[in-house]
Amino acid sequence: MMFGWLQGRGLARLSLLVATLAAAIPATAGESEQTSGVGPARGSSAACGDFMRMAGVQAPELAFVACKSLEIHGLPAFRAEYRVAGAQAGEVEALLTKRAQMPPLRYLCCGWESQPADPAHQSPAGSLTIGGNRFEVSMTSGETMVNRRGDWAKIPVFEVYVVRYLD
Amino acid sequence: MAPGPSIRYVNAVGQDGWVNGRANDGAFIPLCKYTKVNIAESKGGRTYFEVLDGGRRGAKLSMSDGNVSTYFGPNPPRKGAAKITVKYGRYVEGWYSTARKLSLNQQLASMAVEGVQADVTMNTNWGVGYYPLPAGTYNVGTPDAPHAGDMTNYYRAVAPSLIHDQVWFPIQFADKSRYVHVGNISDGCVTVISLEQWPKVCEALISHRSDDGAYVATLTVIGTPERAR
Repeated sequence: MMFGWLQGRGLARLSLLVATLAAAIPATAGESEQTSGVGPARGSSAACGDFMRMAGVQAPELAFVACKSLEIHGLPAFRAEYRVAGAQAGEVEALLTKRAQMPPLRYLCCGWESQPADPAHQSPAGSLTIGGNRFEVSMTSGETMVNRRGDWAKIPVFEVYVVRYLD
Repeated sequence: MAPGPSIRYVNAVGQDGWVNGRANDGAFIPLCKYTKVNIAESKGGRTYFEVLDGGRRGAKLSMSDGNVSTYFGPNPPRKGAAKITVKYGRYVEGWYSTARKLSLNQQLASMAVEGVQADVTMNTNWGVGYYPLPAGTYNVGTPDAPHAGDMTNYYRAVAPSLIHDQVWFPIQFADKSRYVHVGNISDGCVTVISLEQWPKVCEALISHRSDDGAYVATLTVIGTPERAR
């Protein structure tokens, strides 16, 4: 696999990778976005920022990338974005399942995502409370054919999102 | 909208194919298009409603009055399941994905649903337990939940008209891990590789409901894959 080189490398290389990917990956089509520093929006008393830090979640493997103002599921939202290398993704998953009750990642055609066993009836995301407001927490590998947990190191990065809806 | 009981349907959704309602505990619950709701009342700038069908049946949610005007309307889904026919075609090694910039080994097939034609792949991931669906007829359920946008968002780079890509339709087969969805990779799913056709395919499916409301379509798979395992 082309991404196997990441396995066992240090956090300095991860930071470099995150910076490189942040520059290389284009913004999602259809999202009108603004990056961190965005001020309070309609119905909001908080600014867009590093929500993990605001919630007191400590995860050195997790690199904060940006906070964006987007529309998600038809609602305006702030989304703080984080990345973790595949080799360390299991540690972050364990932390977030415990701290935010995020569903563990499942492999579904065709990638890893934090979906509950019965997504039609169970909460599709974990949650954190900051200043009395609810923030949703999710994690995904993006599309990949790496379908075994033991091979997560072959996946270059996993994305972690913390979302505050502004409705 | 005047207060009081009123039946409405989710007639519009966000670009990703879903719209969120808010529960009393602050959780946001995603609803797919044509979900049926009963409007209870409007107060303080929010409209309160109950979900009447789908996986979230019985949920009591709210939405800002403005969003209710945007997303809810009077149009119900069509009665009866849509009919999907998938006919096996060639197995192609080295099929090139422009979006992924990867050569993939695809068991291809052609799909027809309610007058919409599309090319699909029935398996891409070989030697790890996945295989193309056997010939037969299967129920296709209403979408279970939004699937990660990172799985499909970047297909928009090569198909700018692609929307509603976070809507996946579960196929009732074996461990229920297979879906009708958009993309270039299949783990035994019916994956629509005609990316520009996905909005039409999605609407053809989501706009139908079986009599019990649980399914959007019946899927009939015809023929034999050139590569079975």
